Amino acid sequence: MTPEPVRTFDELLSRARRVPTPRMAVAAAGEPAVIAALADAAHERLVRPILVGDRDRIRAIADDQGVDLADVELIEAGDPAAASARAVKLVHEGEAELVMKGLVRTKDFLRAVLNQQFGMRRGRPLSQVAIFESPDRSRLMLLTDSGINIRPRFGRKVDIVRNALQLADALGMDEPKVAVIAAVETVELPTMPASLDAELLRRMGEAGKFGQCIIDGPLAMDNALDSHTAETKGRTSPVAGHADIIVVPEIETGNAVYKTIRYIAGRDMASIVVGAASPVVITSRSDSANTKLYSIALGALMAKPT
Amino acid sequence: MKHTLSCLVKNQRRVLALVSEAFASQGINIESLAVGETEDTKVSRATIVVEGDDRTVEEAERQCQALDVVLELEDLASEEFYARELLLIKVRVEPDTIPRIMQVAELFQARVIGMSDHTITLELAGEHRAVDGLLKMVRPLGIVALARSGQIAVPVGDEDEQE
Repeated sequence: MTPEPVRTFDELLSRARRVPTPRMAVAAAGEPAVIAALADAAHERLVRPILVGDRDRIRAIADDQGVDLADVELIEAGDPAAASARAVKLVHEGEAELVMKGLVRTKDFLRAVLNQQFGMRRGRPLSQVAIFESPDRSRLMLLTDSGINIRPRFGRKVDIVRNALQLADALGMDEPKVAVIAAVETVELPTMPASLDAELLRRMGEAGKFGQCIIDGPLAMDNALDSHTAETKGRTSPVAGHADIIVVPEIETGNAVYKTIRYIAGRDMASIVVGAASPVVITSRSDSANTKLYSIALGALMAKPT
Repeated sequence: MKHTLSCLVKNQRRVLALVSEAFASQGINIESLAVGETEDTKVSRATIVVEGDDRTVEEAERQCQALDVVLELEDLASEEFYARELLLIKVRVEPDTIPRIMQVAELFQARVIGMSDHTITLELAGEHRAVDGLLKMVRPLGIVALARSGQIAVPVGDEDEQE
């Protein structure tokens, strides 16, 4: 039986608690915000952390925060790059089910994730998917890619959509509606290549190339989010006003939309990196405690228990 | 052997017919011919690509140079030159072939300039080999229409001072 879709962050936490608790390797865990997030996640029974990094530093931070590490496995690694490699190897060797970035530069961490020998490659490019609650808080919405692919070409956008659909599936969405965003509703060439990509993705979706989903584009953001606006503009579409997944053309748009939702709308966000063999959690030091917790929950929900 | 000739001619009628005749008289087929005004509107540059043995082509070149309308003729085969060609190609588009068409376009840095229900139109300005390469890759996908401009070329480096 298909599970009910996860509609809110509270439901995300409760759903993630119900799956077998995965082991999460944390690369360069010696950072106060990371330790705090892991303490929250462990308290919520979302993951069993394995902390990789400078053990003395990790213990000192935990002591400062009153976090008990008695039952937590600690693995020594000299520097952030070595810690990333060790954490990723744990997943590669089946000793952990997902991995999280700590105090290490994202590109160094991802280099380990994509390592040919011990990495977590699955043959599909990585992309970031962020989630947030819809304006009426009736469902979760996905936004991609706001963090990894800078100016994706068409082929990469196909993978970005597939990665987002994988997450939508993990969240129990039965037939997700995908809005491919542009600034206009028609193909404008050569000035707006994003409108062409959107049109081509729509055609592929219509032909069933992405499985069970409805893809529409090009859609301007107002039409994707508000069905009345779409009607007013004469843009009828099952996706208009009901988009579950918002696919943005490039990273600047994704980043701006993510931060607008976070800082102007004041909403919680979560994000996950999809496309690897196992979930990859990357949070920023500036992310709220909730964002970190929800991101870990997303990773836990997507992790395949061994 | 292939020869790329850069020919400065007077910008007036019948010039192309006279130049073409010089090659035809030697039994040489012109593979491509592109003509356009130069920085001097009274002068046009014709870039002519021909295939033939060196002696026959040289004879045709001599005949061309003897024409009153031909101001200068250079066989660029003997020196470095920049050469480009413009291709416009309309390819049949199906949901299955969309990723492949776009991949080829990206690979050759071709621009998508048009799109309809059944076709996608690409523009590529590039070296002859790039145009041939793109054609080879899209041919199995279904070419609906194509147009090539023929090569245009200029020598590398500073032009000699003209009278």
